[in-house]
Amino acid sequence: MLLAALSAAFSPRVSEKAQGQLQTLFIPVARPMYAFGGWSHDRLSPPKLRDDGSPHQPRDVRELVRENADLRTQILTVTAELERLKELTADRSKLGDLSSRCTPVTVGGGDSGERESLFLLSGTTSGLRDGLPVLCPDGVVGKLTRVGLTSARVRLITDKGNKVRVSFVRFEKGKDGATHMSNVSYPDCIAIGQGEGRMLITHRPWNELKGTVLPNDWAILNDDDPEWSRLTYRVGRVSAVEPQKDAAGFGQIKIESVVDLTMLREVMVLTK
Amino acid sequence: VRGISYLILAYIALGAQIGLSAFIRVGGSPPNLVLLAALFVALNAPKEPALLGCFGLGLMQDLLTQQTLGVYAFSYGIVAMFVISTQQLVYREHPLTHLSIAFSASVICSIIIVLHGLLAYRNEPAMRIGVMKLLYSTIYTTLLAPIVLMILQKLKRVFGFQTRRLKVI
Repeated sequence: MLLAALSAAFSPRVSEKAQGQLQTLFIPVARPMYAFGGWSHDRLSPPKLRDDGSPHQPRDVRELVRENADLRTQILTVTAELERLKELTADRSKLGDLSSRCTPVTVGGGDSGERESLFLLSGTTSGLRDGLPVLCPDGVVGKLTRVGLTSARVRLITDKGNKVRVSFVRFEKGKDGATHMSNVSYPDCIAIGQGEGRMLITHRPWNELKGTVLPNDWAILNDDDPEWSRLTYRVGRVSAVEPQKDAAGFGQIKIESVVDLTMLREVMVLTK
Repeated sequence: VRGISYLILAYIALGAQIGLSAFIRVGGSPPNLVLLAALFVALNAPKEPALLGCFGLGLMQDLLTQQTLGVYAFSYGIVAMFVISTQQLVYREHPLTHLSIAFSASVICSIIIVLHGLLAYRNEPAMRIGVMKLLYSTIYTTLLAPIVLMILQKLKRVFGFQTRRLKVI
């Protein structure tokens, strides 16, 4: 008991190695439970359709089909431009398709405590190691911790106290009716995880913030930390920009994950 | 206590906790199913096995969370000490006993988690677990307690608990 209390108080990192290896033992029971939980959750509450292009008023199928056609044309142009840039910079690995740099990993469960993390069914034998970024098609999931031989844990980006540097971009409809992305001219900020899929940026001067960053803008990871591999990827969407109650003259930005990160079935680990 | 039955209980409780907790959250908080398993052990087993059993469950739960090793082990040890002290005073099969013990145990765990947050993250308040989250978890666990503990009490025979009897001279 005393050892447990001391361990809790001083949080030795040495136990993380053991945790990484021992959590593997629970895969046989955690995996079917997680699969069953996911299956029954999908049956009882099917995932809602999301329209990032028009979050306030989801569009009908005809409009989406038309936008798809426009986007296909745009992709052709952008792909050609990208190829030209690749040749210019000779940095193919950075500009290449992100999925080709990732290893897909199955999720075997969540966190047994009050923290937000995912239990992965692959470890060092699949090329995973501590600190690697973990992604899903809808955004950044988190970073690997406690990697064992055949299992690992991802600390979710929205876990309490987790800090990342973000910038903002906006999707707007142009005069031609197509959706365009533009950078929001606002300095990079540190977003702090609040749990339950939320992040918060506080103490931003309200007169600069007001009207600059808007709800439904995308928060994009823009962290210099080498562990993030200079990754530029969506973190979430801005859910609110409001004055900070406990600090007059300052404002705060609330960010929400686009998907519930605790319910993911598969994630991509950026291994290359 | 039969070791193999205890290990199977621990294995299933922990598997259910990590496998299902994401899908059965209320107010962002999952119920603590492992705590209910620990309460079952503490309610029925003699003192030493109960203490060891609860501590072991906590230690195993610590291995499967992002939290620091030792928080649950210590909490469940304290919970076991509390439940053992009330063992002779309560009617173990009654739902009200399950409700009250689960509530008290969950509150004890929450207090230890809050204290741990205050101690371990003195300079980083953002890292601390919110009190509201713990409150939801406490209520949820308490409400589930009569159902889960009733099922476990029906299976009590499998565990071969040896209760101490007073020697009458």
